Amino acid sequence: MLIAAGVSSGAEVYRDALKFLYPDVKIEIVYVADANESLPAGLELAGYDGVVLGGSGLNIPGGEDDPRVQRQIQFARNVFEAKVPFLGSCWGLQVATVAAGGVVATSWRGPEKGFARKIRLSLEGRGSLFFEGKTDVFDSPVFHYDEVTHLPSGSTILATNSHCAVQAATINHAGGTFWGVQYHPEFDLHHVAGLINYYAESLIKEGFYADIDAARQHANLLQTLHQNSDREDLSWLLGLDQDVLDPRVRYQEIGNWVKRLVMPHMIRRH
Amino acid sequence: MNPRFLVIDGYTKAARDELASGGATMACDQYSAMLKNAFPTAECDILFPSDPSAELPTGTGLAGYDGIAWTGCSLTVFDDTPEVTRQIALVRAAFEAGVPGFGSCWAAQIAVVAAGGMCKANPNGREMGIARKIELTREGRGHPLYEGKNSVFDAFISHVDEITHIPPGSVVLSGNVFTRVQSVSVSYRGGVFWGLQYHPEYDLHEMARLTWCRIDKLQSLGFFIDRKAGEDYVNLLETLHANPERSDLAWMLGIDDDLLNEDVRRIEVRNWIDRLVIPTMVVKQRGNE
Repeated sequence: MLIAAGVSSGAEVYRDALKFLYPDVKIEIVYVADANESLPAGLELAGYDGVVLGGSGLNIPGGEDDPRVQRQIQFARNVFEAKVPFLGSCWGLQVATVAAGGVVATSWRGPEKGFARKIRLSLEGRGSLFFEGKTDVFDSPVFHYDEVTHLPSGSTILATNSHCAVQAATINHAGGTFWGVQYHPEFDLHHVAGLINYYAESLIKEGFYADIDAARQHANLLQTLHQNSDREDLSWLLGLDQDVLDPRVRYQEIGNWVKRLVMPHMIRRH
Repeated sequence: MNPRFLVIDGYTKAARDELASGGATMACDQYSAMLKNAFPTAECDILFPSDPSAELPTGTGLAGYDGIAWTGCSLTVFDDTPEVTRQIALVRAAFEAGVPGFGSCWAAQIAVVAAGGMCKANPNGREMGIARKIELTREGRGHPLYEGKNSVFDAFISHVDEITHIPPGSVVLSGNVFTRVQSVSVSYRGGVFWGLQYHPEYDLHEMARLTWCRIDKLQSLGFFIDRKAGEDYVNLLETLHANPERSDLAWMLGIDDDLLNEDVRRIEVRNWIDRLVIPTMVVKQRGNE
Protein backbone atom coordinates (compact mmCIF):
# COMPACT_ATOMS: atom_id res chain seq x y z
CA MET A 1 0.00 0.00 0.00
CA LEU A 2 1.27 3.46 -0.86
CA ILE A 3 0.31 6.47 1.25
CA ALA A 4 0.87 9.76 -0.54
CA ALA A 5 1.22 12.52 2.01
CA GLY A 6 1.10 16.28 2.08
CA VAL A 7 2.00 16.48 5.76
CA SER A 8 3.89 13.86 7.76
CA SER A 9 1.39 13.53 10.63
CA GLY A 10 -1.43 13.07 8.11
CA ALA A 11 0.33 10.09 6.55
CA GLU A 12 1.10 8.56 9.94
CA VAL A 13 -2.54 8.64 11.07
CA TYR A 14 -3.52 6.89 7.86
CA ARG A 15 -0.81 4.28 8.43
CA ASP A 16 -2.12 3.73 11.98
CA ALA A 17 -5.68 3.31 10.68
CA LEU A 18 -4.63 0.76 8.04
CA LYS A 19 -2.46 -1.12 10.55
CA PHE A 20 -5.36 -1.18 13.02
CA LEU A 21 -7.58 -2.79 10.39
CA TYR A 22 -4.95 -5.00 8.73
CA PRO A 23 -1.93 -5.45 11.08
CA ASP A 24 0.23 -7.14 8.41
CA VAL A 25 -0.29 -4.54 5.67
CA LYS A 26 2.95 -3.26 4.09
CA ILE A 27 3.00 0.50 3.79
CA GLU A 28 5.28 2.96 2.04
CA ILE A 29 4.92 6.70 2.43
CA VAL A 30 5.80 9.17 -0.31
CA TYR A 31 5.80 12.95 0.19
CA VAL A 32 4.20 14.09 -3.05
CA ALA A 33 4.52 17.81 -2.39
CA ASP A 34 8.32 17.65 -2.10
CA ALA A 35 10.13 18.62 -5.31
CA ASN A 36 13.04 16.26 -4.59
CA GLU A 37 10.81 13.25 -3.90
CA SER A 38 10.73 10.87 -6.85
CA LEU A 39 7.16 9.77 -7.47
CA PRO A 40 6.29 6.32 -8.76
CA ALA A 41 4.48 6.25 -12.06
CA GLY A 42 3.32 3.72 -14.66
CA LEU A 43 4.37 0.15 -13.94
CA GLU A 44 5.95 1.03 -10.64
CA LEU A 45 2.68 2.59 -9.48
CA ALA A 46 0.74 -0.39 -10.76
CA GLY A 47 2.87 -2.55 -8.45
CA TYR A 48 0.97 -1.25 -5.43
CA ASP A 49 -2.29 -2.82 -4.28
CA GLY A 50 -3.73 0.52 -3.26
CA VAL A 51 -2.89 4.21 -3.07
CA VAL A 52 -4.13 6.56 -0.34
CA LEU A 53 -3.94 10.35 -0.59
CA GLY A 54 -4.59 12.05 2.75
CA GLY A 55 -4.92 15.61 3.97
CA SER A 56 -2.65 18.55 3.28
CA GLY A 57 -2.28 22.20 4.20
CA LEU A 58 -2.27 23.17 0.51
CA ASN A 59 -5.20 24.63 -1.42
CA ILE A 60 -6.26 23.95 -4.99
CA PRO A 61 -7.95 27.37 -5.46
CA GLY A 62 -5.03 29.73 -6.08
CA GLY A 63 -2.64 26.80 -6.57
CA GLU A 64 -2.68 26.90 -10.39
CA ASP A 65 1.00 27.83 -10.57
CA ASP A 66 2.12 26.06 -7.40
CA PRO A 67 4.27 23.06 -8.35
CA ARG A 68 3.48 21.38 -4.99
CA VAL A 69 -0.20 21.35 -6.01
CA GLN A 70 0.25 20.54 -9.69
CA ARG A 71 2.62 17.62 -8.98
CA GLN A 72 -0.08 16.01 -6.87
CA ILE A 73 -2.79 16.47 -9.49
CA GLN A 74 -0.51 14.84 -12.07
CA PHE A 75 0.26 12.07 -9.58
CA ALA A 76 -3.47 11.44 -9.10
CA ARG A 77 -3.91 11.22 -12.89
CA ASN A 78 -1.17 8.61 -12.98
CA VAL A 79 -2.88 6.63 -10.20
CA PHE A 80 -6.17 6.63 -12.14
CA GLU A 81 -4.38 5.51 -15.30
CA ALA A 82 -2.47 2.78 -13.45
CA LYS A 83 -5.92 1.50 -12.34
CA VAL A 84 -4.74 1.02 -8.75
CA PRO A 85 -7.52 1.21 -6.13
CA PHE A 86 -7.41 4.81 -4.93
CA LEU A 87 -8.68 6.25 -1.62
CA GLY A 88 -8.59 9.82 -0.39
CA SER A 89 -9.69 12.11 2.43
CA CYS A 90 -10.17 15.87 2.26
CA TRP A 91 -7.30 17.08 0.06
CA GLY A 92 -7.18 13.61 -1.49
CA LEU A 93 -10.82 13.90 -2.64
CA GLN A 94 -10.18 17.38 -4.01
CA VAL A 95 -7.04 16.39 -5.92
CA ALA A 96 -8.70 13.30 -7.40
CA THR A 97 -11.68 15.43 -8.44
CA VAL A 98 -9.54 17.96 -10.29
CA ALA A 99 -7.34 15.23 -11.79
CA ALA A 100 -10.48 13.68 -13.30
CA GLY A 101 -11.79 17.00 -14.66
CA GLY A 102 -13.93 18.32 -11.78
CA VAL A 103 -13.79 21.63 -9.94
CA VAL A 104 -12.84 22.60 -6.36
CA ALA A 105 -13.51 26.04 -4.83
CA THR A 106 -13.31 27.76 -1.45
CA SER A 107 -16.40 26.76 0.54
CA TRP A 108 -18.91 29.63 0.50
CA ARG A 109 -19.98 28.68 4.03
CA GLY A 110 -16.47 29.17 5.34
CA PRO A 111 -14.19 26.62 6.98
CA GLU A 112 -15.70 23.45 8.43
CA LYS A 113 -13.57 22.35 11.38
CA GLY A 114 -13.64 19.95 14.29
CA PHE A 115 -16.48 17.60 13.50
CA ALA A 116 -18.67 17.35 10.43
CA ARG A 117 -22.12 16.90 11.91
CA LYS A 118 -25.08 15.02 10.51
CA ILE A 119 -23.42 13.69 7.36
CA ARG A 120 -26.17 11.80 5.53
CA LEU A 121 -25.81 9.16 2.86
CA SER A 122 -27.48 9.78 -0.47
CA LEU A 123 -29.58 6.98 -1.97
CA GLU A 124 -26.47 5.95 -3.92
CA GLY A 125 -24.43 6.13 -0.71
CA ARG A 126 -26.85 3.78 1.03
CA GLY A 127 -26.32 1.27 -1.72
CA SER A 128 -22.55 1.77 -1.99
CA LEU A 129 -20.16 -0.86 -0.62
CA PHE A 130 -17.98 2.04 0.57
CA PHE A 131 -20.59 2.58 3.33
CA GLU A 132 -21.50 -1.03 4.05
CA GLY A 133 -22.21 -1.36 7.77
CA LYS A 134 -22.32 2.42 8.35
CA THR A 135 -25.45 4.14 9.68
CA ASP A 136 -27.30 6.41 7.21
CA VAL A 137 -26.36 9.45 9.28
CA PHE A 138 -23.09 10.00 11.12
CA ASP A 139 -20.48 12.51 12.33
CA SER A 140 -16.75 12.52 11.58
CA PRO A 141 -13.67 14.67 12.22
CA VAL A 142 -13.25 17.37 9.57
CA PHE A 143 -10.91 20.26 8.68
CA HIS A 144 -11.29 22.06 5.36
CA TYR A 145 -11.63 25.41 3.60
CA ASP A 146 -12.28 24.12 0.10
CA GLU A 147 -14.87 21.77 -1.30
CA VAL A 148 -15.81 19.92 -4.45
CA THR A 149 -18.29 22.02 -6.43
CA HIS A 150 -18.40 20.04 -9.70
CA LEU A 151 -17.74 16.35 -9.99
CA PRO A 152 -16.49 14.96 -13.30
CA SER A 153 -18.74 12.63 -15.28
CA GLY A 154 -18.42 9.09 -13.99
CA SER A 155 -18.76 10.32 -10.42
CA THR A 156 -21.46 9.89 -7.80
CA ILE A 157 -22.11 11.90 -4.62
CA LEU A 158 -22.43 9.42 -1.76
CA ALA A 159 -22.84 11.70 1.28
CA THR A 160 -23.75 15.29 2.13
CA ASN A 161 -24.29 17.54 5.14
CA SER A 162 -25.63 21.06 5.58
CA HIS A 163 -22.13 22.57 5.40
CA CYS A 164 -20.80 20.70 2.40
CA ALA A 165 -22.70 19.11 -0.48
CA VAL A 166 -19.95 16.61 -1.32
CA GLN A 167 -18.85 14.81 1.86
CA ALA A 168 -18.17 11.59 -0.04
CA ALA A 169 -17.95 10.58 -3.67
CA THR A 170 -16.77 7.86 -5.97
CA ILE A 171 -14.93 8.85 -9.17
CA ASN A 172 -14.37 6.56 -12.14
CA HIS A 173 -11.78 7.97 -14.49
CA ALA A 174 -9.39 6.60 -17.10
CA GLY A 175 -10.17 3.04 -16.05
CA GLY A 176 -9.34 3.67 -12.40
CA THR A 177 -11.66 3.88 -9.38
CA PHE A 178 -11.37 6.38 -6.55
CA TRP A 179 -13.40 6.40 -3.33
CA GLY A 180 -13.08 9.52 -1.27
CA VAL A 181 -14.44 11.56 1.62
CA GLN A 182 -14.19 15.25 2.50
CA TYR A 183 -13.97 14.38 6.22
CA HIS A 184 -11.21 12.49 8.06
CA PRO A 185 -12.23 8.99 9.15
CA GLU A 186 -8.52 8.39 9.92
CA PHE A 187 -8.37 11.06 12.68
CA ASP A 188 -8.85 10.13 16.33
CA LEU A 189 -9.52 12.66 19.10
CA HIS A 190 -5.82 12.79 19.96
CA HIS A 191 -5.08 13.94 16.43
CA VAL A 192 -7.94 16.45 16.44
CA ALA A 193 -6.66 17.88 19.75
CA GLY A 194 -3.16 18.12 18.26
CA LEU A 195 -4.47 20.08 15.26
CA ILE A 196 -6.40 22.43 17.55
CA ASN A 197 -3.28 23.17 19.56
CA TYR A 198 -1.15 23.57 16.43
CA TYR A 199 -3.62 25.84 14.62
CA ALA A 200 -4.99 27.61 17.73
CA GLU A 201 -4.09 31.10 16.44
CA SER A 202 -5.97 30.76 13.17
CA LEU A 203 -8.90 29.00 14.87
CA ILE A 204 -9.25 32.02 17.17
CA LYS A 205 -9.12 34.42 14.17
CA GLU A 206 -11.77 32.36 12.41
CA GLY A 207 -14.08 32.59 15.45
CA PHE A 208 -13.94 28.97 16.63
CA TYR A 209 -12.54 30.08 20.00
CA ALA A 210 -12.88 33.26 22.03
CA ASP A 211 -9.23 33.06 23.13
CA ILE A 212 -6.23 30.77 23.57
CA ASP A 213 -7.51 29.45 26.92
CA ALA A 214 -10.74 28.29 25.30
CA ALA A 215 -8.77 26.49 22.58
CA ARG A 216 -6.45 24.78 25.07
CA GLN A 217 -9.41 23.80 27.28
CA HIS A 218 -11.29 22.26 24.36
CA ALA A 219 -8.17 20.40 23.19
CA ASN A 220 -7.69 19.11 26.76
CA LEU A 221 -11.30 17.91 26.93
CA LEU A 222 -10.82 15.99 23.67
CA GLN A 223 -7.53 14.57 24.92
CA THR A 224 -9.14 13.48 28.21
CA LEU A 225 -11.96 11.82 26.32
CA HIS A 226 -9.45 10.12 24.02
CA GLN A 227 -7.66 8.59 27.00
CA ASN A 228 -10.86 7.78 28.91
CA SER A 229 -13.45 6.61 26.43
CA ASP A 230 -15.75 5.79 29.37
CA ARG A 231 -16.15 9.50 30.20
CA GLU A 232 -19.74 9.61 28.93
CA ASP A 233 -20.26 12.98 30.60
CA LEU A 234 -17.69 14.51 28.22
CA SER A 235 -18.92 12.81 25.07
CA TRP A 236 -22.45 13.96 25.95
CA LEU A 237 -21.31 17.52 26.61
CA LEU A 238 -19.43 17.71 23.31
CA GLY A 239 -22.12 15.90 21.35
CA LEU A 240 -19.81 13.09 20.24
CA ASP A 241 -20.76 9.44 19.99
CA GLN A 242 -19.44 6.15 18.63
CA ASP A 243 -19.28 7.64 15.12
CA VAL A 244 -16.19 9.51 16.27
CA LEU A 245 -15.10 7.63 19.39
CA ASP A 246 -15.11 4.03 18.19
CA PRO A 247 -12.35 3.40 15.62
CA ARG A 248 -14.26 0.39 14.25
CA VAL A 249 -17.14 2.67 13.35
CA ARG A 250 -14.99 5.59 12.24
CA TYR A 251 -12.69 3.45 10.07
CA GLN A 252 -15.58 1.60 8.42
CA GLU A 253 -15.12 3.31 5.02
CA ILE A 254 -11.36 2.64 5.04
CA GLY A 255 -11.94 -1.02 5.86
CA ASN A 256 -14.61 -1.30 3.17
CA TRP A 257 -12.26 0.18 0.59
CA VAL A 258 -9.61 -2.44 1.43
CA LYS A 259 -12.13 -5.27 1.46
CA ARG A 260 -14.10 -4.32 -1.64
CA LEU A 261 -11.57 -2.63 -3.95
CA VAL A 262 -8.06 -3.53 -2.82
CA MET A 263 -8.51 -7.24 -2.00
CA PRO A 264 -10.22 -8.25 -5.26
CA HIS A 265 -7.64 -6.21 -7.22
CA MET A 266 -4.80 -7.99 -5.35
CA ILE A 267 -6.22 -11.44 -5.87
CA ARG A 268 -6.65 -10.90 -9.62
CA ARG A 269 -3.11 -9.58 -9.93
CA HIS A 270 -1.24 -12.32 -8.03
CA MET B 1 -60.97 32.69 11.25
CA ASN B 2 -59.09 32.33 14.54
CA PRO B 3 -58.16 28.88 15.73
CA ARG B 4 -59.16 28.03 19.31
CA PHE B 5 -56.66 25.76 20.97
CA LEU B 6 -56.88 23.73 24.13
CA VAL B 7 -53.43 23.42 25.71
CA ILE B 8 -53.21 20.43 28.04
CA ASP B 9 -50.45 20.52 30.66
CA GLY B 10 -50.25 17.09 32.26
CA TYR B 11 -47.76 17.93 35.04
CA THR B 12 -49.00 17.47 38.59
CA LYS B 13 -49.15 20.56 40.81
CA ALA B 14 -46.09 19.37 42.75
CA ALA B 15 -44.06 18.82 39.56
CA ARG B 16 -45.10 22.25 38.22
CA ASP B 17 -44.04 23.93 41.46
CA GLU B 18 -40.66 22.18 41.43
CA LEU B 19 -39.90 23.38 37.89
CA ALA B 20 -41.15 26.89 38.64
CA SER B 21 -38.82 27.14 41.65
CA GLY B 22 -35.89 26.43 39.31
CA GLY B 23 -36.90 29.29 37.02
CA ALA B 24 -38.52 27.18 34.28
CA THR B 25 -41.56 28.52 32.45
CA MET B 26 -44.67 26.36 32.90
CA ALA B 27 -45.07 23.85 30.08
CA CYS B 28 -48.53 25.20 29.20
CA ASP B 29 -47.17 28.75 28.95
CA GLN B 30 -44.30 27.61 26.70
CA TYR B 31 -46.81 25.82 24.51
CA SER B 32 -49.29 28.73 24.36
CA ALA B 33 -46.48 31.12 23.46
CA MET B 34 -45.31 28.76 20.73
CA LEU B 35 -48.83 28.46 19.25
CA LYS B 36 -49.43 32.22 19.39
CA ASN B 37 -46.06 32.78 17.78
CA ALA B 38 -47.10 30.49 14.93
CA PHE B 39 -50.60 32.05 14.72
CA PRO B 40 -50.70 35.39 16.58
CA THR B 41 -54.48 35.72 16.90
CA ALA B 42 -55.03 32.16 18.12
CA GLU B 43 -56.88 31.69 21.41
CA CYS B 44 -55.50 29.24 23.95
CA ASP B 45 -57.37 27.72 26.90
CA ILE B 46 -55.31 25.80 29.43
CA LEU B 47 -56.20 22.61 31.25
CA PHE B 48 -54.34 20.79 34.05
CA PRO B 49 -55.82 17.28 33.89
CA SER B 50 -53.62 15.95 36.72
CA ASP B 51 -55.27 18.33 39.21
CA PRO B 52 -57.94 16.35 41.10
CA SER B 53 -60.26 19.37 40.83
CA ALA B 54 -59.91 19.65 37.04
CA GLU B 55 -63.11 19.22 35.07
CA LEU B 56 -62.22 17.41 31.90
CA PRO B 57 -64.14 18.42 28.77
CA THR B 58 -65.96 15.68 26.91
CA GLY B 59 -67.54 15.21 23.46
CA THR B 60 -69.00 18.57 22.45
CA GLY B 61 -66.69 20.44 24.85
CA LEU B 62 -63.69 19.01 23.04
CA ALA B 63 -65.24 19.41 19.58
CA GLY B 64 -65.47 23.16 20.18
CA TYR B 65 -61.70 23.39 19.81
CA ASP B 66 -59.85 23.56 16.50
CA GLY B 67 -56.78 21.85 17.88
CA ILE B 68 -55.57 20.24 21.09
CA ALA B 69 -51.92 20.66 21.98
CA TRP B 70 -50.36 18.54 24.72
CA THR B 71 -47.21 19.48 26.58
CA GLY B 72 -44.66 17.02 27.93
CA CYS B 73 -45.04 15.79 31.48
CA SER B 74 -43.10 13.89 34.15
CA LEU B 75 -45.70 11.12 34.53
CA THR B 76 -45.02 7.60 33.23
CA VAL B 77 -47.48 6.36 30.64
CA PHE B 78 -47.56 2.75 31.84
CA ASP B 79 -48.17 3.65 35.51
CA ASP B 80 -51.67 2.71 36.56
CA THR B 81 -52.52 5.91 38.45
CA PRO B 82 -55.57 8.17 38.08
CA GLU B 83 -53.45 11.05 36.67
CA VAL B 84 -52.28 8.77 33.87
CA THR B 85 -55.45 6.86 33.07
CA ARG B 86 -57.56 10.06 33.06
CA GLN B 87 -55.29 11.55 30.42
CA ILE B 88 -55.29 8.45 28.24
CA ALA B 89 -59.10 8.52 28.35
CA LEU B 90 -59.02 12.22 27.50
CA VAL B 91 -56.79 11.81 24.46
CA ARG B 92 -59.06 8.96 23.29
CA ALA B 93 -62.07 11.25 23.62
CA ALA B 94 -60.21 13.91 21.62
CA PHE B 95 -59.56 11.37 18.84
CA GLU B 96 -63.25 10.49 18.81
CA ALA B 97 -64.21 14.16 18.68
CA GLY B 98 -62.08 14.47 15.53
CA VAL B 99 -60.03 17.39 16.86
CA PRO B 100 -56.47 17.60 15.46
CA GLY B 101 -53.93 16.73 18.15
CA PHE B 102 -50.29 17.70 18.58
CA GLY B 103 -47.86 17.14 21.41
CA SER B 104 -44.37 16.53 22.74
CA CYS B 105 -42.78 13.60 24.54
CA TRP B 106 -45.33 12.16 27.01
CA ALA B 107 -48.08 13.43 24.71
CA ALA B 108 -46.86 11.35 21.76
CA GLN B 109 -46.70 8.35 24.10
CA ILE B 110 -50.27 8.68 25.43
CA ALA B 111 -51.63 9.24 21.93
CA VAL B 112 -49.99 5.99 20.81
CA VAL B 113 -51.18 4.08 23.90
CA ALA B 114 -54.75 5.47 23.61
CA ALA B 115 -54.84 4.15 20.03
CA GLY B 116 -53.64 0.69 21.07
CA GLY B 117 -49.83 0.97 20.86
CA MET B 118 -47.21 0.42 23.56
CA CYS B 119 -44.42 2.23 25.38
CA LYS B 120 -41.57 0.96 27.59
CA ALA B 121 -38.54 2.28 29.40
CA ASN B 122 -35.86 2.98 26.77
CA PRO B 123 -33.10 0.35 27.14
CA ASN B 124 -30.58 3.07 26.23
CA GLY B 125 -31.56 5.01 29.36
CA ARG B 126 -32.36 8.70 29.60
CA GLU B 127 -31.98 10.77 26.46
CA MET B 128 -31.24 14.23 27.79
CA GLY B 129 -30.47 17.65 26.41
CA ILE B 130 -30.12 17.20 22.69
CA ALA B 131 -31.46 14.38 20.54
CA ARG B 132 -28.78 14.07 17.89
CA LYS B 133 -29.13 13.06 14.26
CA ILE B 134 -32.88 12.46 14.14
CA GLU B 135 -33.54 11.07 10.69
CA LEU B 136 -36.83 11.28 8.84
CA THR B 137 -38.15 7.97 7.61
CA ARG B 138 -39.22 7.65 3.99
CA GLU B 139 -42.78 8.39 5.17
CA GLY B 140 -41.52 11.35 7.21
CA ARG B 141 -39.85 12.89 4.17
CA GLY B 142 -43.18 12.95 2.38
CA HIS B 143 -45.27 13.94 5.40
CA PRO B 144 -46.80 17.44 5.73
CA LEU B 145 -45.52 17.66 9.35
CA TYR B 146 -42.00 17.98 7.95
CA GLU B 147 -42.53 20.22 4.95
CA GLY B 148 -39.44 22.45 4.83
CA LYS B 149 -37.50 20.50 7.49
CA ASN B 150 -34.10 18.94 6.81
CA SER B 151 -34.17 15.17 6.49
CA VAL B 152 -31.72 15.00 9.43
CA PHE B 153 -31.86 17.34 12.42
CA ASP B 154 -31.22 17.75 16.16
CA ALA B 155 -33.84 18.69 18.78
CA PHE B 156 -34.19 19.35 22.51
CA ILE B 157 -35.14 16.27 24.48
CA SER B 158 -35.62 14.77 27.93
CA HIS B 159 -37.18 11.33 28.34
CA VAL B 160 -36.71 7.81 29.70
CA ASP B 161 -39.64 6.00 28.03
CA GLU B 162 -40.08 5.35 24.34
CA ILE B 163 -42.74 4.18 21.92
CA THR B 164 -42.11 0.51 21.16
CA HIS B 165 -45.21 -0.56 19.21
CA ILE B 166 -47.38 1.66 17.07
CA PRO B 167 -51.00 0.76 16.42
CA PRO B 168 -52.40 0.15 12.94
CA GLY B 169 -53.18 3.51 11.34
CA SER B 170 -50.01 5.05 12.71
CA VAL B 171 -46.84 5.94 10.82
CA VAL B 172 -43.36 6.41 12.29
CA LEU B 173 -42.01 9.65 10.82
CA SER B 174 -38.53 9.86 12.36
CA GLY B 175 -36.05 8.16 14.65
CA ASN B 176 -32.45 8.25 15.79
CA VAL B 177 -29.92 5.75 17.14
CA PHE B 178 -31.00 6.40 20.74
CA THR B 179 -34.77 6.28 20.20
CA ARG B 180 -36.40 4.47 17.32
CA VAL B 181 -39.58 6.54 17.31
CA GLN B 182 -38.88 10.28 17.47
CA SER B 183 -42.18 11.24 15.84
CA VAL B 184 -45.38 9.57 14.82
CA SER B 185 -48.66 10.31 13.12
CA VAL B 186 -51.56 8.50 14.80
CA SER B 187 -54.93 8.12 13.07
CA TYR B 188 -57.58 6.63 15.33
CA ARG B 189 -61.39 6.67 15.37
CA GLY B 190 -61.61 9.62 13.01
CA GLY B 191 -59.02 11.80 14.72
CA VAL B 192 -55.41 12.55 13.82
CA PHE B 193 -52.57 13.28 16.26
CA TRP B 194 -49.04 14.32 15.27
CA GLY B 195 -46.70 13.52 18.14
CA LEU B 196 -43.03 14.31 18.71
CA GLN B 197 -40.77 12.60 21.24
CA TYR B 198 -38.66 15.81 21.30
CA HIS B 199 -39.53 19.34 22.39
CA PRO B 200 -39.85 22.12 19.76
CA GLU B 201 -41.22 24.40 22.51
CA TYR B 202 -37.95 24.48 24.48
CA ASP B 203 -35.15 26.93 23.84
CA LEU B 204 -31.65 27.01 25.36
CA HIS B 205 -32.92 28.94 28.38
CA GLU B 206 -35.72 26.47 29.13
CA MET B 207 -33.31 23.56 28.60
CA ALA B 208 -30.92 25.23 31.03
CA ARG B 209 -33.67 25.67 33.66
CA LEU B 210 -34.88 22.08 33.28
CA THR B 211 -31.28 20.85 33.59
CA TRP B 212 -30.83 23.05 36.66
CA CYS B 213 -33.86 21.42 38.32
CA ARG B 214 -32.45 17.97 37.58
CA ILE B 215 -28.69 18.48 38.19
CA ASP B 216 -28.40 16.03 41.09
CA LYS B 217 -30.41 13.36 39.31
CA LEU B 218 -28.39 13.86 36.11
CA GLN B 219 -25.17 13.65 38.10
CA SER B 220 -26.28 10.32 39.57
CA LEU B 221 -26.98 9.09 36.03
CA GLY B 222 -23.47 10.07 34.87
CA PHE B 223 -24.26 13.15 32.77
CA PHE B 224 -22.13 15.29 35.09
CA ILE B 225 -19.03 14.24 36.97
CA ASP B 226 -19.95 16.53 39.86
CA ARG B 227 -22.43 19.27 40.73
CA LYS B 228 -20.06 21.97 39.48
CA ALA B 229 -19.91 20.39 36.01
CA GLY B 230 -23.71 20.55 35.95
CA GLU B 231 -23.75 24.20 37.00
CA ASP B 232 -21.08 25.04 34.40
CA TYR B 233 -23.18 23.37 31.71
CA VAL B 234 -26.30 25.31 32.72
CA ASN B 235 -24.27 28.54 32.62
CA LEU B 236 -22.91 27.65 29.19
CA LEU B 237 -26.44 27.18 27.81
CA GLU B 238 -27.62 30.44 29.42
CA THR B 239 -24.60 32.34 28.04
CA LEU B 240 -25.27 31.08 24.53
CA HIS B 241 -28.97 31.90 24.90
CA ALA B 242 -28.18 35.47 25.97
CA ASN B 243 -25.48 35.83 23.29
CA PRO B 244 -26.63 34.00 20.18
CA GLU B 245 -23.67 35.44 18.24
CA ARG B 246 -21.30 33.24 20.30
CA SER B 247 -20.82 30.76 17.44
CA ASP B 248 -17.71 29.47 19.24
CA LEU B 249 -19.89 28.02 22.02
CA ALA B 250 -22.45 26.58 19.62
CA TRP B 251 -19.64 24.94 17.63
CA MET B 252 -18.04 23.41 20.75
CA LEU B 253 -21.40 22.01 21.91
CA GLY B 254 -22.09 20.74 18.40
CA ILE B 255 -25.37 22.62 17.96
CA ASP B 256 -26.67 24.64 15.03
CA ASP B 257 -29.79 26.29 13.63
CA ASP B 258 -31.83 23.14 14.26
CA LEU B 259 -31.84 24.25 17.90
CA LEU B 260 -30.89 27.92 17.76
CA ASN B 261 -33.22 29.20 15.05
CA GLU B 262 -36.79 29.23 16.31
CA ASP B 263 -38.25 29.12 12.79
CA VAL B 264 -36.30 25.97 12.00
CA ARG B 265 -36.96 24.39 15.39
CA ARG B 266 -40.73 24.92 15.16
CA ILE B 267 -41.46 24.11 11.52
CA GLU B 268 -43.51 21.15 12.78
CA VAL B 269 -45.86 23.43 14.76
CA ARG B 270 -46.50 25.75 11.85
CA ASN B 271 -47.09 22.76 9.58
CA TRP B 272 -49.54 21.25 12.07
CA ILE B 273 -51.58 24.48 12.04
CA ASP B 274 -51.36 25.03 8.26
CA ARG B 275 -51.74 21.45 7.10
CA LEU B 276 -54.03 19.90 9.73
CA VAL B 277 -55.79 22.48 11.95
CA ILE B 278 -56.84 25.06 9.35
CA PRO B 279 -57.93 22.51 6.70
CA THR B 280 -60.01 20.74 9.39
CA MET B 281 -61.55 24.11 10.38
CA VAL B 282 -62.43 24.88 6.76
CA VAL B 283 -64.02 21.49 6.21
CA LYS B 284 -66.03 21.84 9.42
CA GLN B 285 -67.22 25.35 8.51
CA ARG B 286 -68.29 24.32 5.02
CA GLY B 287 -70.18 21.40 6.54
CA ASN B 288 -72.04 23.83 8.81
CA GLU B 289 -73.03 26.18 5.98
